[in-house]
Amino acid sequence: MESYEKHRRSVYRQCLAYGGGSSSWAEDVTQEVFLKLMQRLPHLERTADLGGWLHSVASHLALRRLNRDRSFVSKVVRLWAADHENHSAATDALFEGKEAARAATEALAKLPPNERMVLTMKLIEGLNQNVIAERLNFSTGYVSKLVTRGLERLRAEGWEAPDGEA
Amino acid sequence: MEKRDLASALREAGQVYEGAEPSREADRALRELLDQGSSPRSSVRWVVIGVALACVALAFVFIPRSRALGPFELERGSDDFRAELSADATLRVRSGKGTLVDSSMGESLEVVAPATVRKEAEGLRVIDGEVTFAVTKRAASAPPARIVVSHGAIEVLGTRFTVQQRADGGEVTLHEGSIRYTERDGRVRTLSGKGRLAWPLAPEPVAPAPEPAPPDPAPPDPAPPVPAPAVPAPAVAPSKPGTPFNADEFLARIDALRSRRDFEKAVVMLEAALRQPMPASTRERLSFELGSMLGHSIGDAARACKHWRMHVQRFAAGRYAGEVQEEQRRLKCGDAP
Repeated sequence: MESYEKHRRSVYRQCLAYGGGSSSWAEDVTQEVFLKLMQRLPHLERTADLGGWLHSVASHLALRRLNRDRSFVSKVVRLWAADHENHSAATDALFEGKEAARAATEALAKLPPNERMVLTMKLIEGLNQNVIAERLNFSTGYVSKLVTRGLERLRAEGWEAPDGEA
Repeated sequence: MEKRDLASALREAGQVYEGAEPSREADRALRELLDQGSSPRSSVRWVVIGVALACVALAFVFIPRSRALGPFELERGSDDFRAELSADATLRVRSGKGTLVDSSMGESLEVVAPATVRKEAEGLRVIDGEVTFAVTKRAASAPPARIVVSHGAIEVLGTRFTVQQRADGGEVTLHEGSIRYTERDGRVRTLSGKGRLAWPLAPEPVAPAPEPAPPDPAPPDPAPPVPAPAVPAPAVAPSKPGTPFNADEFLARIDALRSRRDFEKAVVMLEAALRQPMPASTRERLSFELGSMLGHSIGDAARACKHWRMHVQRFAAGRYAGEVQEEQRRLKCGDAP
């Protein structure tokens, strides 16, 4: 519980970034992260960097969730459960008065999951590509390609995006 | 259309997230779960999802000679070829044999019943049976095709090979070209020409990990992942004169040290490796890894700045020039542009 108190906000905010501002999505993934911590706690060393481990787990689970959300079955179920309207209302409230931030978040959300994830980690979390590669278990070369491809797509949508190598 | 600044818009989004809090309901629900030490209770939403998945799972489709099989196209099949595609995109070949094409990845597979495969984010997973792969030439910028197996992954560098997956392991037989196999613990084996490799690889003596490794991101099953066994730092390769330096294997060992947070040992290995003869592009790559390790993982700005100065002198217009400049600015190296 002490770990939960210490890290719940930072993990939630990290998941909120990955979920494009959807609070229910972020809450679901945050729950998965701490339940995974509960399962793995007996195997973790006392001196382990718990915060780093939690953020790394959050990245993995969020990416898996993003991939799952793209499946046809998942889209049908979300429509059935009327999830889409609830997500939109909550995100509207979060970005009220911040149209540029909302538009950028929506643009990011349209990218394929791997590109979306890597660009969120780079441009919102401010992580270096090596750290991103380490967290997601990708090679640095693959992360670099994802950054380049994602930024090209966003430029095609009318965004002025930084150089992929910077 | 007026151009919009992506970086500043996303920074603003980041500031919005910094002020956000989870809802009281979600916080209370999770505290209760952690107190009880139990699995999450099904909310209405998950009951709906469960019912929907059950309905879809009942709708198995037998596709005798149809063209589309999920992410694959059936190029040709024997008269008795029968396959079924389940809701989670698992393809089970029940009878006969066929050639399937995944044109998005440039792969064709010959499958002989009984065999089961599934396309995942990580690559194409061979769940059981025998599958022969042929991969077409890919663009230099495209990532290698990836075949996921029970104990690791095969990256295709341009070739034809057969995978046999059993319940307790498997093997790959290379017919032509080259492949690289990476066991989950980071050990790498490369096959070229013709050859055979079995998994799991024979165990090596291990030391207990001082830090936990991040969990395996890919597996779809809900069971918690097993921590990857730690690999001891091997000697810097190669010691025999004339043996070409294998950068991929070397960097896999560096990755294993990084995952154990043994950064100083990784730095020693990188510095030693850079004293060996190797192609300029490989030297630049290792030099970049070393600088990143010093600046990020170890956080020693003085050592990192010193290294970046040497890197810039040697690779002034190199492929990491932008990232190196950013690092020098971040570390406030005196002579950063």
